[in-house]
Amino acid sequence: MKALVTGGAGFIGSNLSQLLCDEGHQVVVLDDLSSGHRQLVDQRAELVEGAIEDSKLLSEILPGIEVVFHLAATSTITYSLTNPRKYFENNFINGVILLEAMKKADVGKIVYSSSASSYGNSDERPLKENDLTEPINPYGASKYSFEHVLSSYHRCFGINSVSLRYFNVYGPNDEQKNNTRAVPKWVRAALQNKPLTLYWKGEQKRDYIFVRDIVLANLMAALNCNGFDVYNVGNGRGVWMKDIVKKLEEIVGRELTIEDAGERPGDPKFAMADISKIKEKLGWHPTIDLETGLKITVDYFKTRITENL
Amino acid sequence: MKALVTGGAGFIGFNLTKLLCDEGHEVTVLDNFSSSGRKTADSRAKLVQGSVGDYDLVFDLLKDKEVVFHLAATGIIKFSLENPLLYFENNVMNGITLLEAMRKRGVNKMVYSSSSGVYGEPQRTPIQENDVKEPINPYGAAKLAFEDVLSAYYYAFGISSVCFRYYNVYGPGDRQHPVTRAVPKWIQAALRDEPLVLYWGGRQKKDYIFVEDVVRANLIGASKCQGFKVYNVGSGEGILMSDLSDKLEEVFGKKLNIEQKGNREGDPDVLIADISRIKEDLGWRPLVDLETGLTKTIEYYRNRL
Repeated sequence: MKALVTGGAGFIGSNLSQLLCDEGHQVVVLDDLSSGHRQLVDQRAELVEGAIEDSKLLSEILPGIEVVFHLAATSTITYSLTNPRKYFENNFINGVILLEAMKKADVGKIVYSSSASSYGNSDERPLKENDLTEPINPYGASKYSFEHVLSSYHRCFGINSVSLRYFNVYGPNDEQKNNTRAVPKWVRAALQNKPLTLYWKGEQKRDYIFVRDIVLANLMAALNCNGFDVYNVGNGRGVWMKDIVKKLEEIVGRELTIEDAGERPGDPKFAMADISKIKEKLGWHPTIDLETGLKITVDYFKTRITENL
Repeated sequence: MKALVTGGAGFIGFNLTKLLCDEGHEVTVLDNFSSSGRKTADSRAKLVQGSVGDYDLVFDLLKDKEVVFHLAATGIIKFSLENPLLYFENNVMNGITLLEAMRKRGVNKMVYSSSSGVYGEPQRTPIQENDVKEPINPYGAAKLAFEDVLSAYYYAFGISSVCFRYYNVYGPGDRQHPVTRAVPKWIQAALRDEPLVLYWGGRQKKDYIFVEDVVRANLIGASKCQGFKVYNVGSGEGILMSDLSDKLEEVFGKKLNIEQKGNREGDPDVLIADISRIKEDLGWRPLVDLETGLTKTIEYYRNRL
């Protein structure tokens, strides 16, 4: 198939583009490189440097595309608290502009990278897709609200969509500037003999899912995109943050220095996915366990650090 | 209290402003008159013409306000299919501009006029607030999206809000132009001896709620605005559209000329509110029954003609 990957120079988008190329698909990457990196884009993909709200550009690249993987987003939760409007512009309104262009170019399928932040606060029980959704920050609200847009575009304009609500994704190519995600931060710190910053003494349970599994879910979603569907994508099993530190210690083979960063308000204790729906409907399930995933990630950053030094 | 009412020249906003003034509150109305059908508001209120998306204006108007009733919206569902982007700009992005101004001003209460359109095709009847929401048009999607925004603004910035999901509101003061709502359309047609257009053979079942009950819910919402809350506002009872036209015949005391128009896509068959949450949390319940409400509404349009 011929696919457009928005945000294809980013962490997940670059992994997805690579998978799509591996599978013999034709890939156009659209990325404004505001947080993506040119060098992460697969050589076999065509990189178009530009913004998703550029209707004219979209009208040039969309004809002939069968499916859009929409990953472009402003994604750092913390900054969404300082500039909420920007998040709604980039993650919500610009998505509407993309859909309007798809409508005009007669592109009828979109796989949307949504987020577990749609849910808001949760407890120890794994979250189901129909559970209460009360986003607790503008980032979560901007991601979740675009699902409603997709719902209406399915019913009114026949644009089919699958929204994938990612939990904590980790793996190679996570080159977010000022990285806010724990795993890449910790791996880098561990490899550089710096202390690991740990909030809440690691007494938080999260759902970590390896990026390879995430991009597989995208591919399967594209092949089963005929309606309006929403799926959690996670491991389905929680892991305590303190146990990730232990696993990292095992992998690097030494004890790591921990910096107790205290409590971080607005950061829920639990966030875990119930993945029975995606298992049943798409036949997807996680294939890479945490240990294997972390090893691959450590190897990746080892190479990156060597390159940089 | 000092209140800002956005969309205060519109149907519900006009009625709300009147109630607030009657109760001795100090009201500023902001309206751009784009769909209100009138360029006035209650004479006791301060009326400002302008857009909710105009940050400087809104920031200025918010000085010393305690609560914002946010009713301004682009509201006609079928036009949202022609220009979706406009609906998302007006009903979501402009709302964010308003919230940003509230944040800077320290105004931390909003009562938001949402819509039963957030649910899409209901999966059960009557509908509860936590039921599945899959909007079937950009209007519904935009109304729901702004609820998400309010959720985030409560948890992240402490701005409390009450979202009211209105069902079919009817009553005096509805000057929507063009008229798309059944009750005002039918009443005005009946008063002019024109035929009443009925879709789906009148088999659709809807929940009609009188505007006075709706604005009273707004007042109670403002007094109990703490946290992020969502409520259905309806009568809690469904009425077949064919029974509604029968009821109109009864109130008019004459046989009305009904024109059957077949089916209309994108309009749920049954849309009835479960109102147990608002009853329990806010102590609100509908006070005006359909017959009384229709009589008052007919009276209003009769005087207008």
